[in-house]
Amino acid sequence: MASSEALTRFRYRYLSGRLVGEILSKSWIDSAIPVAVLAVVLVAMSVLVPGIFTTGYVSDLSRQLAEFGLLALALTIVVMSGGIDLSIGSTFALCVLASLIGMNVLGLPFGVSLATALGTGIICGTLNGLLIGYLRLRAFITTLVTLVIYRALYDIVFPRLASAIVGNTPDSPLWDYLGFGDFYGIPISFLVFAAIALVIHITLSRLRPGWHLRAVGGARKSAYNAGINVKRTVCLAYVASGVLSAIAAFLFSARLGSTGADTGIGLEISVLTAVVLGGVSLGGGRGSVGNAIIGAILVLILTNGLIRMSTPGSVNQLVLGLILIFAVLFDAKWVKNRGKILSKVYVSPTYLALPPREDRDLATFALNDRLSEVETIGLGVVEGPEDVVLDADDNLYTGTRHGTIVRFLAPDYRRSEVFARIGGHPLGLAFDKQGDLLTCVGGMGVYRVSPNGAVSLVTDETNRSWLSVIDDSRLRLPDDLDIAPDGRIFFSEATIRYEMADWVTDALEGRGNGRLICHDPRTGQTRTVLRGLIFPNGITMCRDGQSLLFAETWACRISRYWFDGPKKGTHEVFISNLPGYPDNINRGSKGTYWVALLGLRTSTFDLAMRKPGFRRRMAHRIAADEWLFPNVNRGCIVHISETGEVLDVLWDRDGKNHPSITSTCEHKGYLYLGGVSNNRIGRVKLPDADPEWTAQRDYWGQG
Amino acid sequence: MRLGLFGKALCAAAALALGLSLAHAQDKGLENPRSTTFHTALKGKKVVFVPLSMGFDLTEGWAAQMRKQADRLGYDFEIRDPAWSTDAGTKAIQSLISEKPDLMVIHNPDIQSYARLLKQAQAAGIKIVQINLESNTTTDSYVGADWTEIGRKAAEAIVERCGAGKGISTKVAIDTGVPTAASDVFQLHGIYEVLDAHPEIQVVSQQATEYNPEKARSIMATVLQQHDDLCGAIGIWDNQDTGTASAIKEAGKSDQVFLVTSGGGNQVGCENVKNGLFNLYISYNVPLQGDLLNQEIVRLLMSDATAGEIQTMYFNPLTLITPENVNQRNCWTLDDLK
Amino acid sequence: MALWSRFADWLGRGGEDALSIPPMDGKLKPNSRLDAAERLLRLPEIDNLAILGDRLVCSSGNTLFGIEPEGWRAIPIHRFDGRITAVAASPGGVLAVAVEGRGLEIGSGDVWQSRSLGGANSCITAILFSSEDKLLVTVGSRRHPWTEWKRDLMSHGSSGAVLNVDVSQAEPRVIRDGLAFPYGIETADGGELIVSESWKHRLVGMQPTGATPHPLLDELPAYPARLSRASGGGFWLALFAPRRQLTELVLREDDYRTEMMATIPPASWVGPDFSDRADGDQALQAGSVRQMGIMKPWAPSRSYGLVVRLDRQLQPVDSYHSRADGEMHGIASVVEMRGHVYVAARGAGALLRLPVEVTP
Repeated sequence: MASSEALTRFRYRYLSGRLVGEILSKSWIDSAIPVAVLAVVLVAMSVLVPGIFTTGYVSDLSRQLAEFGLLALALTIVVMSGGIDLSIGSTFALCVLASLIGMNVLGLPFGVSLATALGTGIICGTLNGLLIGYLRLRAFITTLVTLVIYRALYDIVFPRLASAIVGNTPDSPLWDYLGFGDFYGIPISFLVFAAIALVIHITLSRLRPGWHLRAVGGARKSAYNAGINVKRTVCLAYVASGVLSAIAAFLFSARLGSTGADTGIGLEISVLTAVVLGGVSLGGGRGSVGNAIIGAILVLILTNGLIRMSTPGSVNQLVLGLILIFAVLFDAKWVKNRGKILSKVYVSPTYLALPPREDRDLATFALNDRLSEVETIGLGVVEGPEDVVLDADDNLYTGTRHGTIVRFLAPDYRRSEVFARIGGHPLGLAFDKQGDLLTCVGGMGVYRVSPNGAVSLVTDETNRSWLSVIDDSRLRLPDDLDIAPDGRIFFSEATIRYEMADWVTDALEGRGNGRLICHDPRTGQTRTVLRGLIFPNGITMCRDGQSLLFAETWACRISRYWFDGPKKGTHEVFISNLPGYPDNINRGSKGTYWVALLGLRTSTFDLAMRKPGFRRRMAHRIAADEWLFPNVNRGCIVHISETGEVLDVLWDRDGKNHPSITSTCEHKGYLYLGGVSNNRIGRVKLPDADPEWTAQRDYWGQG
Repeated sequence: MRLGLFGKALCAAAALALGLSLAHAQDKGLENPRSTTFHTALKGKKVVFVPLSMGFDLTEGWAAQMRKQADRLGYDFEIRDPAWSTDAGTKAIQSLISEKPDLMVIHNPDIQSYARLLKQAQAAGIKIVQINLESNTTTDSYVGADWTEIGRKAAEAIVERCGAGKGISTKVAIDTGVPTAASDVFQLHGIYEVLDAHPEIQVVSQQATEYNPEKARSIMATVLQQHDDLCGAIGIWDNQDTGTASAIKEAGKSDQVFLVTSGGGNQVGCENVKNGLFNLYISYNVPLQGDLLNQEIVRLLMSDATAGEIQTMYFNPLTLITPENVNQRNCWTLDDLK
Repeated sequence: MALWSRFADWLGRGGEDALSIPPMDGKLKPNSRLDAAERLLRLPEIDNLAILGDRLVCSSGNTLFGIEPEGWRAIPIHRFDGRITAVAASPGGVLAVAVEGRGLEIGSGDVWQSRSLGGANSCITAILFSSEDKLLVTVGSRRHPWTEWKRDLMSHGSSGAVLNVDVSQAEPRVIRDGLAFPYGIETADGGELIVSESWKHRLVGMQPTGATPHPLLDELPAYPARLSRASGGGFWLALFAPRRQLTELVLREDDYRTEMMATIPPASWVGPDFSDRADGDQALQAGSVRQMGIMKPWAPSRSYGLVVRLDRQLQPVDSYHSRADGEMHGIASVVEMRGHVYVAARGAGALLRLPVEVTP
């Protein structure tokens, strides 16, 4: 048994397995798979067709990529808006015709021909856009119809002018340069393509039109409700598609100098294959320029490679068709199951062995009824009062899960008012020297509320650590805070792997996912000071002004961290092996501290924490409601001394009013109780406490 | 021994006879240096054929013959099949330019698409023979039909039948293939050269069928509905004109409409002539073209000239096949060539 | 096949179906009728109801009680030397009481005759008088006594049996062996025996000769206990604890389960129980957390109250529940007498009375 435990501990220390889940949760994971497929295809091709990757070939490929890539970009934009454009091949053909009529037949100058081609593309795109964007017709059928219409136009016009097109060669050096000139070995058409791709990438990922496009494609109704002009966005997507097709057509005409009856036929299939293979989701809302380019390269390499291997032409079509089916199937399954797979793979429980509970604790922590004479404040008025704090005028402040801070007016606390509206769920509260209320708002950051109720942001980000896959510069669950004598704000972030709503899952993991952060108002800098803490929760300043106490909830211990003085930067255990899970810590009178235990340890859960495989299988297989959980239906308050001895324990025996307590605050001889899953605050008289003691005075002198 | 004069003459004659007979037994002939060169010079060379597509009579016929010679003379023969796609064809040629085979045989889908590429290929040192469908670029060699000549001959046959007062009317329908292909642009020029001299002939329809017999059939069916006194029709290829012919037959006008078409001269086409679907078939004779192609390949591969230095062409003679001269010589099957 | 199921497990598809619990739906749709029912009296661990003549008898701990209909008082009849695990009454007024560790006690009032059943003495779960001197007895397990029923569940116990005991003769005859905790027995109209096999959450039928049992009602969402006849045909079935996905998971996790059984007292184990006690070491499930002071009725809980009315074909036609936010849990015994249904909620220590409503 011991050796297997040691083995488990070793294994979970070094091979945590959490990286898989974290990588899967990244937004660029959708592109990672096509890149992997591209790498495989490149390797396969270089093996099957030796000598394929010469400079000449790469130069050819880049020229083909310029045209095909622009078409892939055009279709990507349309697909991201939630539609599809089957007429892209016919639009391309019409624009080729327009360019050639301009250059060959009419002998117009370069710029005018370009304008003609662009104009044709804009008209084709606008027709699609009006029908689909404004008249709300179905994209598939509409573009199928325009495919036929544009093709028919081409078939009517082309034969009449065919001889004129092939009979004349335009006399434009710019045209030739575009067609087959290069710049230090890189084809000009490719440079044009690269420039356009860069502009579109920046627009799609960083600028508002791109966000609007993604919003409309991803969730049309929500986009509409958010005030985005959905119809215009969709229409413009098709216009953009038309413009890009026109540019591609122009490059094509410059390269070949003529066109045939089969120009653009079947192009929509290969472009669609490229787009889907590249990882753009056909459902809309997801995709990027990178995806389009990877898909285009994949398709080009495949088709070129197949031609190179002298396979019969029909086999090429078959292979491409099979690949398209496979890619669409995979896309459908991936999009549907990504969330499910991620939720299963992401939870990575680890080994956490708590010391066995000692018998001496049984007596100290025996159940009592000290909290039975609790006076209830705000029953039903507040929901989720995680922390309670009182100001110099004895008014009571608490945060609620509706994102507000509610103030109960002294002396009877029957009247209440909303003091500030912030959002999220304000958790830890503390007053600073100037009388401003600082609060950790779960899901948002650390905020300051001035005495007149004005809300301002203190900080919502910290420095990003280099080795973390997750973006830990964001604050996900700031929990409690306290203020050092020089004004520095130390606050805990309970976990970086889960959002506020999923903190339950962090209990299951038992990992050191949390950290201690320091914000210095004098410099405005926020820095992480301690990492790898197991759900750090309550924080309170020690009276030496150089250290603070912080609770690690799932580890059932409180530690002390020195931020100043000779021991600066070190931390050591203050109390360990508590029989429950410590939440907030606050100062008490006579140099003591109050610790709220939000739940009790149970033997079955402690055992489960030593069996990470069991917890992982539990997380995978059964519903979240059914998971084994710490007993948070029963909590208590512990009164500890400056040196960590337990002086007193207060329980609510029946558990009616305060089954689980997350915070206590001593103020003028009373103890105020809060609970994050409760809908009331409690107040109980402490017979032997200092009736004049307030936290303000203890921290800042006469406050 | 003492020999008299007669004895000396007898000895000399005997010696001569012996010497002659010995000399005859040792005569093994002379090595022909040209034959040796011919059979070894081409070993290891590479020839690539880029057709319009494989899978129909013309290209299969040429390929069969080229392959036979490649086997005979020991060079490498490969086919890159674009399957009717101009785009795939340009890609194939582009990759061939970097692969640098010794010779390419090119079948152009239209006169412009490959033009620049062929120039580049010649500049890269690859010798090029264009077969049957030309491009605007002149390369080392061209072997194939003279489309203008075909057009002229077809138009002349039509004028014979449909000139003023000769046929039921002077209406003629023309169905073309791919408007930018050599078979279209040059043939139309030839047709109109003749028709312009006979202004009474009325061209009631000129449409492109893109080599699709079904399209040809429906076009002809429509034309016949609009002009049921149609006198003649010119089609540019027998494979698509099976459609034209069947439309005419369905309308019951096989005796009325004089259909002229052209093609490689394979057995199927000849059958169609025999049973009256085609009235005149202008054959450019695929087996003959295959032999000419082979000869050009050998000549260019053995030549020391650089690619594109010397340019030749040969427009092979045409055979006009009518029901009277459908025979073994004029008509071929693929098995004959393999 | 094992390899494939391992692969499917790894993919995340395999074990899912095996852990799912049939939902309480249709006739078993949850309600709170047991909490709303009339509470007649309170007796800690009240169980084992039987009808003696026109009165009810029940047990509480070691003592057998009779229930006075006027005032609903419990009058002790006799105190035995061990815990009472089953009670039955014959048509002629004779009682058979199973005492843990001692076997059957047959008699009435103060006169009792012991009858040992050998190894089966410690876990007799139900008794049925098939005639005045013949008894059908179900033995839950031969390896664990009744108080250790949780250990039997967690070790996949299947050592239970159905015995045919003749009052006069010496040896009981084993009708069927190898059952997974039989906890109730009744006879169907055709003479077939209906036994509730608790750990397999089903009712099985077998011929008195001992032929192979076949399932009659399977996929129950809770563990079935005693059966009793209902007026108008059909039966009442008491189910003493709910099935949960977590329990099913732990039953499959050998490593965790064996260590849990070795190091933790049974009262704190993951798994079902007659009631949720308040001592705080109980395994809690994530959905059972009190929010805003309320325990949601649909929260997962270790105990539950469920009584089901079955028709002649053993199909449910009605059900009475006490949900997670209720108190009347752990019902192992239910009888019908004179137009009323009496329910013993062992977990709450209360006797409930319901009017008979529907005749199927």
